[in-house]
Amino acid sequence: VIDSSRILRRAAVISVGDFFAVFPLRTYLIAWIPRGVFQMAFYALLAQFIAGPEFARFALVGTAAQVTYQSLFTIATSTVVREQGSGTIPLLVAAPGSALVALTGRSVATIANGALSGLLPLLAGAPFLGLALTAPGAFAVVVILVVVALSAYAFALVLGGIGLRWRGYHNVLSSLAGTAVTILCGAYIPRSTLPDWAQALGEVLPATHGLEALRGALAGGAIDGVLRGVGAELLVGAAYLVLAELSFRFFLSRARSAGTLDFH
Amino acid sequence: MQLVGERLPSFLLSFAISPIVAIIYVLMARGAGRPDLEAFVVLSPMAVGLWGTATLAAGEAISSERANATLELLVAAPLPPAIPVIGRITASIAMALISVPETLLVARLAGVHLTVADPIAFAAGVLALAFSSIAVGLITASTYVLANGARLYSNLLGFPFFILAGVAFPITVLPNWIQPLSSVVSMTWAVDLLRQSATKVPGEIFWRDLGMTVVLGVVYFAIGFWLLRHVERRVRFDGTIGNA
Repeated sequence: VIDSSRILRRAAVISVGDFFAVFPLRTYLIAWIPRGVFQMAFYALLAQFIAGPEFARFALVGTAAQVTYQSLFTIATSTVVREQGSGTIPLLVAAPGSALVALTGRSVATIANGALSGLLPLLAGAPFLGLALTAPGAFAVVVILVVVALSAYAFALVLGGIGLRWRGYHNVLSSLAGTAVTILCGAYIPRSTLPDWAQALGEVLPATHGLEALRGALAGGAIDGVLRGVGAELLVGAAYLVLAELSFRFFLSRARSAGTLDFH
Repeated sequence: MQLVGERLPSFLLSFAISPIVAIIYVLMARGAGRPDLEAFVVLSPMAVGLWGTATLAAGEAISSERANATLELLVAAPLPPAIPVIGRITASIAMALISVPETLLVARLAGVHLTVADPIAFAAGVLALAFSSIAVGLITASTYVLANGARLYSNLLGFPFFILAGVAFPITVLPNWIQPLSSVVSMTWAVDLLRQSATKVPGEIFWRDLGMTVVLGVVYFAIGFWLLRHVERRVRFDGTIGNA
């Protein structure tokens, strides 16, 4: 446990350096963050056109979650696959600690970025769309978006595990997964309007329960309902984390015995 | 076939994403009890997909030349570097055109009452949009030559253009002071032509929309050629072609 915590801490420090090497601070502030705000404006205008201000607020909250999980799917999936490209998979196998702990540590900045990328469009759009944000509400939003980011990260690890097997297809995987989750989690489409099977599928995907908690918290809903949503989101994330661990172990053990760790 | 083989992942994305996003927009309208708007919003992802493919292909073209250390050769060759870049973007756009019949098929399968009463106007709108999207890709490519980090900036520009073009909603929902900007975005006119083709398009609207899309595309090409030449001179002067 101590080793894992040390690995996690050190990898987290590296992750910040890694992140800002890809997204220099100036570029991050000028290009990345406004992109989420423009996406929010696009979907809010679309929803406003379709059904008026109430639906625009629905889309605003949906965008906060969508930007959060999609950024995790895209960046975290490619981070896993990049380990293969940079030839560091054998090092992860040779190291005494868990590869998953190292990978998670390396993505701490990405997880924080996911939550922030969702939060800022929400804060930017709220005054224009008449979404009242109290201090406790804003705090709940931050917590819930972090939880959504964590479960989306666990799901991205599973996608990364698949990406390791199908090299070159990780962007396809993360994009398709993102659009599928967008249909099923209730980001832009009220889940109650989906067929029963689609609603059931949504229950086991990241962001669905987090979004329900987010909407509940912003509407001033009962705290136990919000906590139930957060708990369910964490549970879904934990399940994907276990799946990712099993997937990595299986992949690494097969690649190790075949001698193809570098080019499996 | 070689092109498809090398770029299969990108091709799959072009193939799959536009119809799925079209479904999202249709379900948004249907879920909100506005089935009358389904035909209006369903074409939007196809138009966005063509535009996005051009900028993505432009970025990939320059990034791969840089990664293979052939960007210097591209600049040193007697042919203007814009020509091979245009060729690569055009190939990607040609593949992305698959989203047009796909979107029409998905609309039909999803029960959207989308009619194309004027197929000539529809086809002209698609081709004009593809033409101007290639020009937008050329402009994007010049920023990639200048700096590899330009990728993030070009990603930033997608949604503002889609908003200005009214690709998924009428531009009348935009604030009055923004609406004049919509007229200098070629997609505005192309998307209008696509929507108008639901009925027989009157001659003056057909030529106005087609003309504006093509003329703006030509203007974008001129800007792209000028920018690429300017940027090429600058990176040659700075000695930063391969590692900008």
